[in-house]
Amino acid sequence: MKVNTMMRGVLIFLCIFFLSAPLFAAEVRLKLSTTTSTENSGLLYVLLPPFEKQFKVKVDVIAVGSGKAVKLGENGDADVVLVHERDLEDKFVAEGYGVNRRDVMHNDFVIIGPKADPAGIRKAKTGAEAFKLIAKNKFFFVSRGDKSGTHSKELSLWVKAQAKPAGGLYMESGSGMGEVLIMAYEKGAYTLTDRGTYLAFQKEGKINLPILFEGDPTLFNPYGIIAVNPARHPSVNYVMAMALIGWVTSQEGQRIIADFGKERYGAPLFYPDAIEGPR
Amino acid sequence: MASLLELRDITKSYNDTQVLAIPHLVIKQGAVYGIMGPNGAGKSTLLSILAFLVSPTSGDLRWEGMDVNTLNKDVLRRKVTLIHQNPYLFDTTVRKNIVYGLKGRRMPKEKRDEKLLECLKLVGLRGFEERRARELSGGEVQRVAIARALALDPQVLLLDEPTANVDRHGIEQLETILKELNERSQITIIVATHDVNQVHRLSDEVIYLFNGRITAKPPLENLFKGRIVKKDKDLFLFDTGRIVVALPRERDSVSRIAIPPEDIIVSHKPISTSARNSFAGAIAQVTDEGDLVSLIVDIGERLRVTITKRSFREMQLNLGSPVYVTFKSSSIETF
Amino acid sequence: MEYLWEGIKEAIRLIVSLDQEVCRTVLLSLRISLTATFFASFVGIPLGFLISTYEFTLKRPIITVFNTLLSIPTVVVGLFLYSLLSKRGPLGPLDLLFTPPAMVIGQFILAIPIITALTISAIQMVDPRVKWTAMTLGAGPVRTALTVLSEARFALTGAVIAGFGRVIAEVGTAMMVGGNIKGYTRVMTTAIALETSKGEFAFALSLGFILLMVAFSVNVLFHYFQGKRG
Repeated sequence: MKVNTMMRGVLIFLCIFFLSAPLFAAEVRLKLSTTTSTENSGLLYVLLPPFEKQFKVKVDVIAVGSGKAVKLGENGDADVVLVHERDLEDKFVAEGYGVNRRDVMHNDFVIIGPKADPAGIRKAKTGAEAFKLIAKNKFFFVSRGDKSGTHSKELSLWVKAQAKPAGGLYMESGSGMGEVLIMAYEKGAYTLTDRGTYLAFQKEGKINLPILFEGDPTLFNPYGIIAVNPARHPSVNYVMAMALIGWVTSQEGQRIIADFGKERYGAPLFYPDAIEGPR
Repeated sequence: MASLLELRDITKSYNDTQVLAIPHLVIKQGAVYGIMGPNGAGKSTLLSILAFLVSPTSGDLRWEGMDVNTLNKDVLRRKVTLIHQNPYLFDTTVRKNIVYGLKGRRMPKEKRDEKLLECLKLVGLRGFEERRARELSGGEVQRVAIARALALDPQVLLLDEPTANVDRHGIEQLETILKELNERSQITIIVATHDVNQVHRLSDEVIYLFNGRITAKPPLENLFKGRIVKKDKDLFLFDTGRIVVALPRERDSVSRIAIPPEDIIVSHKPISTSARNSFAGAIAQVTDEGDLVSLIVDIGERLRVTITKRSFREMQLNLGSPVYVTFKSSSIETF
Repeated sequence: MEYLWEGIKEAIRLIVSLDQEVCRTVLLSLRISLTATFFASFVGIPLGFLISTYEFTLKRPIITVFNTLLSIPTVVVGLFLYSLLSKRGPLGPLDLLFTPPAMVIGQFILAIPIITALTISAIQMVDPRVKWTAMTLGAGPVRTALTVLSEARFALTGAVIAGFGRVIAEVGTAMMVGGNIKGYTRVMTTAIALETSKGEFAFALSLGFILLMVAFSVNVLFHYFQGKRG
């Protein structure tokens, strides 16, 4: 009785053991914390592989909200941080958690909403003005509500507009950009979104909303990449972090950024900022 | 015959209540013993001590002359096996149950299978190897339990009320098996039971247990105090204060009488026999004891009477039924 | 409603075509959850057995604690483990954060209360005569314990399966300590969460169906290996 079940048990254990061995293999890994919208855009999966191949390293992309991405850097749980929120980035460096900040690229935000544009924001001259129109005329607005880069940009615009939708008109969803877009579409509401996610969703037919406002420099969304300060966290992979920074700001890296999205959406999603006129 | 187990001044108490007190008891090899007593007399406790499952509170227990405390309990437990009234069979096949004890000894497979077949044969369950334990009848369960115990070649086999949950046919079967076992392999058998007839059918020697103590004879029941009130030519009349009983001519002063429950006859109407003692009464209590039914009949005094279950059913008796009890004056014990 | 139907279709397509990404994710989910369940059983079953069998002063409160831990939200366990494994935390130097081993540890923590609590109740339901019977037949304490466990095997299987079910389906811990890194720590559940957040509902649903089928297969296999009862 005992022998047979025991043997089966041992067999199962061995299977599990060997199957899981690869889990515990050691490799050089670089931890990059970034935002969900950055990861969702798919840029990283084009930009990183050449780097990984050349430097024989695996980059672990940890995608969370901007706030958390920076926090991971502060804790030393990431080696390098790529976000698009200048205030947070500056604070990160000023407090000594990060070093060697470089501009990488920017994308921009656009305001989208129902086709009929009941609030009439098409006529607005600045982002803040568009926001004011939405608030004053009492229309629905969906917010990220999750301390992400998009959320911060949105909040700064409300401040500039000196107005904000009240109560149920302002829907804080606490979720990713994709979900917010769908929510806006379903509810006929306005929202602020990065162009990249918008283009992707529009192209795939998940939503059908027009861009109602764009182009205002206040809506530009610059990305910065920062290495975590090894003086603060000696165990971070500083050398490889610096290599990655070097890569994304190099001619080749910047070119990949400039080309990304052209084929799929007909327009680039990002505009490289590290080098003047890359080519 | 060699002495296997010897108990001296053994007592057992639970929470300051003493349940067993045995000054001296010897179990010899090859004999069949019956431990007889009403429920609560301490039979199960005694068996547990004899099986080395429970330690006595005080006293000296010896196995083959050696103090049990100096010996390995696990080894001893294999030499003396106890089969519970409701034996538990492991939730698996009959084979795996019987072979359980053997696996502990690292016996090679062929030997184990041999033993298995042997034991099944001894209890009359040939062919039952692959049956699932949970699918067996009460009698079959008892027999598998016995086979399981026998597989260990015990020197002593203890059985606690083995036929309590078995039908009449099964009882016969079991008793035959036990007798044959003893004859064939000289295994010492100790059976605890409350069935008087069974104990006499099976045992070479009977140990009577009453309130944790060994009594020389069956415990006295239907015991009454009183005094002789009339002396006739061949009869004395004994008055308990509530009933008057006819005694055969005896010693001059009798202060107590005892009437054996098995000698009392119960009937609906008074029966005309030579029995001098016949009383009307009503049934005050009914207790089921397997093949027998124990009644308390109130005739002024309360008498315990045992009748067969068959009779109980045939007479359609119940609590409160009015009955007549009759017994011969010669069956009364006097003190 | 169309999401559901789309989801089923997509699920079938992905399975039939043996989509590489999906296969990798499924394998990773299985490896992590099976390993965690295995170790949790290895610890939880003996632990439950001991708690159930022996009398000691804190017995009742401890059993209550285990039963309460059954309801602990996965994200809370994730947070707790994150704070331990972070570079800022005491176990930082072990470099475990955002790796599969961290997820195994997290799921181990999740599975243990279930397996232990269910083992305790399984053992308590075993007929008290088992112990006694084993002893009469000459079994020592270890063999007696194994026999009791064997008599409870049906319920114990349920305990392990319940543990596995809890961890294969959880997101909170895997997300917090794994980081949902594509190709490395992305498992079925975190992938579903991600696809949902991207609005890819049909794809998310298809992954969900696949997860259910995987769990079903594991259960079937488990019962097979367990054999017919005894």
